[in-house]
Amino acid sequence: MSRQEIFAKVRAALDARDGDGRRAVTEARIAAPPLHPRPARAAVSDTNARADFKRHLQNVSADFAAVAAPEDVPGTIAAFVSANYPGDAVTLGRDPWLAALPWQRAPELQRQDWKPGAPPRIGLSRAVAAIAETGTLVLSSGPENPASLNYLPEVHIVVVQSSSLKASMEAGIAAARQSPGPAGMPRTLALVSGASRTADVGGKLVAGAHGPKKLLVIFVG
Amino acid sequence: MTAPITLFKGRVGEALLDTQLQAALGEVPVNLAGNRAKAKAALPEFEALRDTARDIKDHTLAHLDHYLEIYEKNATATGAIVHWASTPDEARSAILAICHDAKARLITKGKSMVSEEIHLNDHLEKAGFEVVETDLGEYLIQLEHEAPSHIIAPAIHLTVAEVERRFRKAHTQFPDSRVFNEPADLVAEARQVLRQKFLSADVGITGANFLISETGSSIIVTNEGNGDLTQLLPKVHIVIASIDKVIPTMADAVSLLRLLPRSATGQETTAYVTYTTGPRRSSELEGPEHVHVVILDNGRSELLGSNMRSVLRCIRCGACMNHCPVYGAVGGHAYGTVYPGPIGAALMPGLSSVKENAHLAGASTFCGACASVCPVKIPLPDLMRHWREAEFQAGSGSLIARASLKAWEVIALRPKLYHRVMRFAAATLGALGRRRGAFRWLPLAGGWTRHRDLPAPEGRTFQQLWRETQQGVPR
Repeated sequence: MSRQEIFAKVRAALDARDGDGRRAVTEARIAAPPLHPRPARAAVSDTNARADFKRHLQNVSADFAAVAAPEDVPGTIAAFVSANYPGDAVTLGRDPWLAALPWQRAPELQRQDWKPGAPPRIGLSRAVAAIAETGTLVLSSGPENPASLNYLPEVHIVVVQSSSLKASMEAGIAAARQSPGPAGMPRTLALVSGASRTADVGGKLVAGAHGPKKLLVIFVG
Repeated sequence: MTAPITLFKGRVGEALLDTQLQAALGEVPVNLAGNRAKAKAALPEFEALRDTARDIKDHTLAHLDHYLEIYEKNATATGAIVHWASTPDEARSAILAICHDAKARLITKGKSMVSEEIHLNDHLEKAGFEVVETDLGEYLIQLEHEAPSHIIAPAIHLTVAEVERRFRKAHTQFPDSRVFNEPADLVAEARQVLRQKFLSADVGITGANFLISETGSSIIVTNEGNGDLTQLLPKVHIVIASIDKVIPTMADAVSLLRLLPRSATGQETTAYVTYTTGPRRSSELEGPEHVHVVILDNGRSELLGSNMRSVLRCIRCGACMNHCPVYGAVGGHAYGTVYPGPIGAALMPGLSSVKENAHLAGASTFCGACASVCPVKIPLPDLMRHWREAEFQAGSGSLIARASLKAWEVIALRPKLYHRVMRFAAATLGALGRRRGAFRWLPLAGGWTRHRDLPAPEGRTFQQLWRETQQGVPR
């Protein structure tokens, strides 16, 4: 009932008529989404992308570690964990890229498979893209990188390859989409820019409201 | 029954004398406005993006029926169930039915102004559900059954000491002897309490900052990650959103997302911007098995067909509140409405009744700060002026105000009479006030002279001085 009522009222409000051509306008916009003006800093040719990405993350107190190659990742994680959270294991999903890293190079680092339920102390994810414009990580949910790893652990470590760094939000988000339309979207497309925080108590910024208190970004290549 | 404006004036009087409120208001909105200015300065294209954002929303509203249909089609294709509600009552019934079907006991909630609009918590609690707000600000006010006093900072009226008092009263599971040295200690306790709720909730209810027709997705914008956990962990996720939240494409969302956090808190982006598309996929071991989207009209379709359509552009950033001198003086509760501040004054008479809300348009100096910062360029003073006219034409408002306006109309429409009256007033007041240069008291100006002196006029009107200047009379 309500559906017809709402649509009837909206159509009356817009003075809509069958065949007034408005449907075609909406379908055309969805088939070919508009190219809205973008800030200069989001231009494809942005040569400062790498520095911008790092600066934006550091502005929100995220830790940033650049490594030359994938084989450096296990050692970087092991050093971070033993310095800050000695003895804690790192929990990760079934990401094939992460699985293929030479973990034998960091024998002291404990890894455990993610399971639904109990919140892990340290979560490890791989981002499908990074956005220089805002210092943002783009994460696609699935068994490879479960979305709860973004929000439940006390510490979140995210690995992202330099080749997937995009200047704009548009390009970063596009990297997470398999195809146009709903089917090409991951169930949870998470844009993460820093640790969880709140200013609801007296207007003072505090890290670790409900999600991670700390975010470490490992930038590879 | 006491008239709404009388109640409003009473609340304003109390707010101005409330030292705790004044301490809270002295800081936070000012900081938010300052942060916005910094974010704007760091993005040279900010002003141009406001035009883009306005155009996106105007285009969407002009094609709203079709974008809602396409959203429904695509969201349904992902496995979500879309419900339509003309009224708050219908929205509540749909949500209650979903919660009953899920045999829910505990319901977690992300921050949602539309849920405030339909007073959802009261109804869920009456039906026997335990409802827990998970946004820290919303949680703080829920502890004392208060309404939000700001749309993005709902507990903006609370001092740190008051937060501590509420936690000591509510969290009796912890020892009385515990010490809170700084806000972080209070946040840590809330984290501990709410984490258990996240993990054991049966249903999660969130709002949506945007619904995207192109993909059937909903977007939430958060800093705490509370909405994200609310919509991810329980078996059932309910999105409650109004018809004006739909936008056409992912590209449109990005343009609006460039403005929303900058306008709200001055952040380049929030910690989390999360797009969800349907229930959990077959390959996934987490995520809700059922996703429901309840889309509410509640008077918006009528605003769409009126000359107030632009109020539906609003993306709920709260910048108009942060920059409003009236909001800054009295806070959000004084308005007595779900949406306070300039956007509340422009929107509430449309959502609720004109009779009970049009007086809010009087809570403005028409300085225009709200319109100058609005990311979607809503002409808020024009909209408030419209409601003032509607109130006058409906014959409501105080007798003195109506009589004064009538008298003003008589004078203002007759230039000769106007000049004569003004010359007389300027000369009389100039003569009376010459000695002190100001008045401590004047009839009909008590609202001014109670707090400060009223400067006396020089004795001649601007028009007189202008004519003399043109004729070369030395001054």
